[in-house]
Amino acid sequence: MSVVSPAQLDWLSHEPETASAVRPSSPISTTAAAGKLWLCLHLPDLPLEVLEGYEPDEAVVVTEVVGQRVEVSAASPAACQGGIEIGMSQAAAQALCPTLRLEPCDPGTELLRLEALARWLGGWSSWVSVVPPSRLLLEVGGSQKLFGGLCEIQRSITAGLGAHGHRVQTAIACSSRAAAWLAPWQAGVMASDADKTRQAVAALPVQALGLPSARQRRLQRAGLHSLGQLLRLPRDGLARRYGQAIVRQLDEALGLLPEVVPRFALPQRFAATVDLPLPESATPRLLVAAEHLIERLIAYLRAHDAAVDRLRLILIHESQPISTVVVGLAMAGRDGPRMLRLLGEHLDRFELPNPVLALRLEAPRILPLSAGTQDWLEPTGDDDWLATVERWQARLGSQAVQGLGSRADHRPEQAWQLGPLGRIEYSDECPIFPRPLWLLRQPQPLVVRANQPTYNGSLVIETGPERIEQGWWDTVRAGGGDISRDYYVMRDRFGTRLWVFQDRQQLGWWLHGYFA
Amino acid sequence: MSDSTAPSLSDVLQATPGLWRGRDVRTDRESVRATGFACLDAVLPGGGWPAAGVIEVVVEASQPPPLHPFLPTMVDCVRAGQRVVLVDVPAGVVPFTPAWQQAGIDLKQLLMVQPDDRSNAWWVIETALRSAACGLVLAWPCAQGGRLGLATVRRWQLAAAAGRSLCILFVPARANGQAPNVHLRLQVQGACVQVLKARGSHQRPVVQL
Repeated sequence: MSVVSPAQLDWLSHEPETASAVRPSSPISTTAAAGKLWLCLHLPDLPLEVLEGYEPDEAVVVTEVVGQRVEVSAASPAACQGGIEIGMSQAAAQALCPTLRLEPCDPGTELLRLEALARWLGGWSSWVSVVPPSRLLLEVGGSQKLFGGLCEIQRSITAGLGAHGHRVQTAIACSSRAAAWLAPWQAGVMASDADKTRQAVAALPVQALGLPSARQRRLQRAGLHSLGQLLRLPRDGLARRYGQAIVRQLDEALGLLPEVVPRFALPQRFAATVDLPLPESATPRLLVAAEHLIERLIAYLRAHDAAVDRLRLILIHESQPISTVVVGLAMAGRDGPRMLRLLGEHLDRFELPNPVLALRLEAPRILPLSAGTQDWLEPTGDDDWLATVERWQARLGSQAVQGLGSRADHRPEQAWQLGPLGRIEYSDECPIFPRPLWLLRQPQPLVVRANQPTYNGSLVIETGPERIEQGWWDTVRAGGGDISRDYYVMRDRFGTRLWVFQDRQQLGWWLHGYFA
Repeated sequence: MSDSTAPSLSDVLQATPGLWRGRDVRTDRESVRATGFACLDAVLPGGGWPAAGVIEVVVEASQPPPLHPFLPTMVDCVRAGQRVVLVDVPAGVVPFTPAWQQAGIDLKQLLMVQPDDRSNAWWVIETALRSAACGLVLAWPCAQGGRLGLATVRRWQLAAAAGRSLCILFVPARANGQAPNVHLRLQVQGACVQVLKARGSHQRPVVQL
C-alpha cells in the first residue's frame, strides 16, 4: 500500500488489501478501549467538492440559511482571492464578485459522499466512523504495522483522497475526540501517545471545542483562549461555570474517560441506478447498461467479502409504472459474467411495455461468502453447469429445479427430501435393509385375497418382514408421522420387485415402492 | 477348378468391401460405455451403451420406470463427477433417495427438473445433454403428451454428441416406434431386457439381468 493510483480509488470498487473490510454484522457502537490510535480526516471543502463540475479555480460559494440571512458557508480558493470570507452575507459576496456561482448547501449529498469514503476506508481499518458534517474517523493503531507505519497510512489516504479531488486535513491522537479537535487546527499532527496528545490538545484554541458561540464568547471574556488554560483550572469550578459537558469532553479527549465511537455499518442491501442517454427498448443496449451496474455490484461484493443469491433489475419507463425483473441464482455467488448472462436470459423473455429511461439494480440480500457457498462456486469446470441450471430456473421458475436429499430417519416418508438446491440435507447413513428406487407418493392399498396381498395376481415374498415402528412423538405430520409397519420385498408375476407393507395400526396391505 | 482352391462364399463376402451382412453385429462403432452387465454387453453393438446418444425404453403404463439396467451407468457417471438429471418424473413416484445412496450414487450430483409444459421439458433435455457437466439424462418426454418426432430426437442426438452424454427416454408402450432414429430401443419387464432395435444390428435378443 505505498502508492494509491486514482484508478484504484473508485469509492465503490476499491478492493481492500486486507480482509478487514467493514462487516455488515458489526455492532453499531462500541466503547473504545485503551491503546487505540485514531486518525481523523477533516474535509473542509466537502460542501464544494460534492458540487457537480467543481473546479478550485472557479469562484464558487456554498450558502446556508442562518436565522434571517443567507451566509457563505464555504468558498473556493478563487472566491477567497476575490475577498469573499466565510460567514459573509450572500448579497455582500455577490457585490464583491459579480460572476460568483452560488450553490445552496446540500447536507444529504455530503453525507452520502462521507459514507462512500467510509466504505473505501474499510480497506485500512475495520473501525471507521462517520462524523457529519465533514469528518471521518478511523482506528489505525491495529493496522499501522500492516501498512508500514502511521506516516505511511496518513500519506496514502491523503494521496488517495487528493486524487479524487478532496482536500483533507488529518490528525492522529490517542482518542477520537482529540483527533477530531486537532484535525482542523493542527493539520498533520501525530500525537501517538497520551503525553503528546495532552500537549497537542493544550495548544488548541477554545474554538476547537465547537461550543455554541455565546458560551465560547463567555470563555474568551474570562481570558480563556486555549484548552491548556482550561486544563489548568480547578475541575469543579469549570464544571459549575461552563457546564459538566466541557469537563467530560476534555477527559475523553485526554483518554481519562472511555468514549463511545459509532462504527460505520454497511447497508444490508445494494442498489445502484444508471440513466440511459436515450430511451431504449433493445435488449442488447439495455444489457450494456446493466453490465455497468453488475460491475459495481461485483466490486461492492468483493470489497465486503460477500455474495448475493438474488438480483432485482428495475426498469424505469417514461410514462408507466416501473417493471421489475427478478433473477435468482442457483447458488449465492459473485460471478459477474454469469449474472450478466442470466440477466440477458431474463430480459430476452421480458416484454418491454415502453422504452426504458433508467435501470436500477438491487440486491435485496447481501450474504457472507461462506465456505458453503464457496464450495459450490469453485468446483472444477462447474461454471457451465451452474449456468445451465440457472437458465432452467430462469425459464421454469426456481421451484421446477430441485435437488434430492436424504435424512437419517427410519420412516420412509421422512427419509427423502426434495427441495431447492443448497437447502437440502444429505445424510451419510444408509439403511441396512433393501430400499426401493422409487417410492410412491401415496401408499397404494392392495387387494387382499385369502389373507395375502395381491398385485397383478399373487405375490411372492422375497425378504421380510422388516419392522419400522417409530415416530410416536411426532403427532404433527398427518401421514407418516407415527408409524408401525412390517415391510416386505415381494415379487409379482412379471418379476417386478415391490416394496409392500402391512400396517399394524390400520390393518391392511399397502404398496409403497418399486425396486425397478 | 478344384474344390481346395475355390474360396468359400463367406470368404468372398468378407473380402468384398462395402458389403454388410444383416446377421453381423457391427463392431466398428465409435465408442461405447459398458453397461455393467456382461450378458447385456455381449448382445449390444460395440459391447455397451453408446457413449453418447439416445436410448428409448418402452414402458407399460402400469409398470414402474425400470432403472436397474442403467444403475451401473449412473454410478459410473456420478463417480466421474458428472451430473445426472431427471426430467419430468411421473407424478405418482419419487426417487427414494436412501436406495439411490445404497446403490452408490452421491445425491449432490442428482437434479430433478419438473417443467410445466412439454416444450420446456424438451428444451431442458436438450440443454442438459449439451452441458459437459451432465453425463446422463433420464427423461419422460411423453409425460405431458405429444409425439416424439424425428427432428426432436435428432436434436437430442446432436446435443448428446456435443456434450458426450447419454439420454435415456422412457416412453409409454403406445408410443412405441415413434422415434425411428434412436440408437437403441429396449423393453424392460422385470429382470428381462429385450433389445427391440439397435443401430448396427438386426437381432432382437432377450437378456435376463
